[in-house]
Amino acid sequence: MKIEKIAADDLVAFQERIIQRLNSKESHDISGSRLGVLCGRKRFLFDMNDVLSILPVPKFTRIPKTKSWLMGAANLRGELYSVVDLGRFVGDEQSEIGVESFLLMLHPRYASGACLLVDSVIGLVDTGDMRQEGDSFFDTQSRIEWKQVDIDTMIHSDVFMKIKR
Amino acid sequence: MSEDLMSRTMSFFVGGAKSDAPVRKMNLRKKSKFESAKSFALRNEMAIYGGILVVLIAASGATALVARDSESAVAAKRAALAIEVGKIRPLMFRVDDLANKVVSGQSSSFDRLHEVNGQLNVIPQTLTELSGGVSSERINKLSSSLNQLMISIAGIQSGEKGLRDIDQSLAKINGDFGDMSVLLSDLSKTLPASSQVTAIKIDAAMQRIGRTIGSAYTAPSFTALMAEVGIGMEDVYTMLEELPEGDAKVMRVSEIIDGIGTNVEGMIAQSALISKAKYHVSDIDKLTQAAGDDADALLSSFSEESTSEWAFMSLAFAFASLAFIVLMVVRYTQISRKNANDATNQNKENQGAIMVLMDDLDEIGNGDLTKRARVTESITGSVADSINHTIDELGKLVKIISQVAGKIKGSTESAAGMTHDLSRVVDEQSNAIHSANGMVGMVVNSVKDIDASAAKSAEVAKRALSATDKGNAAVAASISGMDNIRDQIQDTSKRIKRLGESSQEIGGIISMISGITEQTRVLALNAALQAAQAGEAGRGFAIVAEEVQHLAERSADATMQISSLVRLIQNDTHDAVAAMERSTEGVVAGARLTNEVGAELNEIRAVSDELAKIIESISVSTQVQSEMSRDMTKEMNSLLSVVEKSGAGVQIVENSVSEIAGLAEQLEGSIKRFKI
Repeated sequence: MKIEKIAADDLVAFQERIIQRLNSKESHDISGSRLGVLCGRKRFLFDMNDVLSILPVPKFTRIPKTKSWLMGAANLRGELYSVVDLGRFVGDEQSEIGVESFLLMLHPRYASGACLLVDSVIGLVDTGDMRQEGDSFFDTQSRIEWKQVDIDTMIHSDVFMKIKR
Repeated sequence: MSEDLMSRTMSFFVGGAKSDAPVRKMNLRKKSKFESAKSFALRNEMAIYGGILVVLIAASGATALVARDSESAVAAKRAALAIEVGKIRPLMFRVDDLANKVVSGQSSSFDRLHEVNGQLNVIPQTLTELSGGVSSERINKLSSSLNQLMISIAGIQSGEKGLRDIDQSLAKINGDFGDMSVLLSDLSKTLPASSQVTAIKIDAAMQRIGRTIGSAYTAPSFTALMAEVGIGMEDVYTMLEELPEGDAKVMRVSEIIDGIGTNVEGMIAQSALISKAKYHVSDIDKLTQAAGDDADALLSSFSEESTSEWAFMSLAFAFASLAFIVLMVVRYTQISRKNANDATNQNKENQGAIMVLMDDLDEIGNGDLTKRARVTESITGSVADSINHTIDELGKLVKIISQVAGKIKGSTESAAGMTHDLSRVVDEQSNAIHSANGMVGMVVNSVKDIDASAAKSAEVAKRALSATDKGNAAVAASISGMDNIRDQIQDTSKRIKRLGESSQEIGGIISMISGITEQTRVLALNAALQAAQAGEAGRGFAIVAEEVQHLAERSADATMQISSLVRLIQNDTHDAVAAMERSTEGVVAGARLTNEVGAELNEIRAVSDELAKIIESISVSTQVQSEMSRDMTKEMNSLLSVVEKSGAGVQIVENSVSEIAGLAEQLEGSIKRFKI
């Protein structure tokens, strides 16, 4: 009964908040919202415009004699993409593919031909209340560090381009 | 001896004077020399008187001699007769006693009865021989009484063999009773409870039969008594069949009881003999009494006829002589005075002599038998001599009578002492029986107490039985209650297990919801990404997507909470099931304990049951004891009446003895008058 009441309250609050937020379109800015992911023990943030969609991990084919962070190649919606393990690429984080693992498809404007494997998608993160130090954002209460991923820099870096082992 | 006495006595009366008579005649003749011729008439008269006097003195002397000889010869003969007759009374007592004994279980007394009968046989002849015709009428009467008595004794003797057989049977039965009683008391310990009671009952019944047989001789009707015994034996045979067969002791008991039965049948066959013998015994009672009375009559007739008669006769003659002498002297004096002129001198002389004689006789007449008349040459000389002789014999007689009286006195004194002792013994017996009676009364009381205690114990045992029954019911209720609890626990356990299964299903559903929530979240995120790429146009949509994504996160949190709650429930149900199993084990253990309590209660019940049976058997035993004590009191009372009767008899004897003593004293007193 308690749970039911909470759910009912939540639903009412949910509807009210949507209506409220829709009515105050000018006052509210959603640029503060970013997509938060987890790779190993590290948390990363992506701009909403950088990620096209979130997909379940498909079957992919391993590519011999490549770096360990390059998991292989996969067929996504009829096009060939390379699958990059973000955790290993950024910080040698050992991770395995589980039920919470997802692929992030990058926006087509980057024409990178790559997608990123993350251990889990945490959700939308509002950075408005966070303290920014360079690329990093810190939660003022839990002091958790979120690292902003610069896609453009990453995909054009030498490390990213040299896949040969 | 007695014939000699008789002939001597007769010779005096007939006149064949051989010893003293001539002397006296000479004296008379001497006297006549002094007389003158003138006094012829006087002389003749005096001669006549003298003749009479001589006859009187002779008679006195003769009777005195007879009296003396009665003490020596005739008295001895009569004494012998008296002894014989005196034997009869005690003999009668013995005959009566023995006759009663042979019909009261002492057939060994037959030997002595034969012996006494032999003594009786010779008595009539002996009496006839001794009496010499004296008191023949009484002796004949006594003899005929004795003959009748002997006929009755012969009647009893004819039944000797039968009576001896009965006594042997009784002795055999008594021996068998001892063996059987020991065996039965053994049996009452070894046999099972139901048979124990039967064994005790058989023992009691056999003891009753034993007592009945024991009173066989004293019962008024032997035949009726044996019929009662026969009925009792039938009961015992019936009870014997209830005892378990095959037991060695039981077989031995039935053998003994069969033996007793055979002996009892033998006794029943001889019962007519007992009745006949008893009939004779009652005759003997009367006949011995009659013969004793006859003997007493004979004895008393002796004393009437005996020495005293002769002695008194002698005394009478003596006094008659004295009187006659006095008369003669007076007459002589009268006549002398008439002829005074003729014989003055003679007269004076004679007168003096007579005076002297009279003086002497005066003292003797006063009872002094030591004095003697002076024997002179005068006319009174021969008279004095004769008188002196008479006095001598009289003195001897008085001495003998005095001695006899003394002896009688001594005998009566010792008899009085004995009867006094006897009386004391009878008193002691009476007291002893009284105290024994008191003890029997105490025994009866204590038996009653035991009976009362046994009754109380029986009640307690019954209460114990009902208490154990209630306890058993309680145990049964407790066991069924435990079973119910176990069933309920098992039921509850099943329900809880089902609850666990249900919660597992809930877990499965939750994981499904969780998956859906995740997908919803990812969809919402994708929608938010699409809206962001649509720019300003997708702004509203971005808001919705963002909120949906929040909602999905909240939903994921809720499902996680539910999931942990389900796990908690599953743990709890698991614990609950384990606890239930432990409870079931406890209930099972409790039921087992209760079952053990039930078994214990059953055992208590069996023990109480057995106790009740044992108490019942005690009750039967005390009843038997009580009956026996009653019989004992009865016997004691009859014994007491017998003792009281004999006490009365002793009293009568005591009175008789004192009467005899008085008579002896009287006799002594009358003799004392004489100085010897």
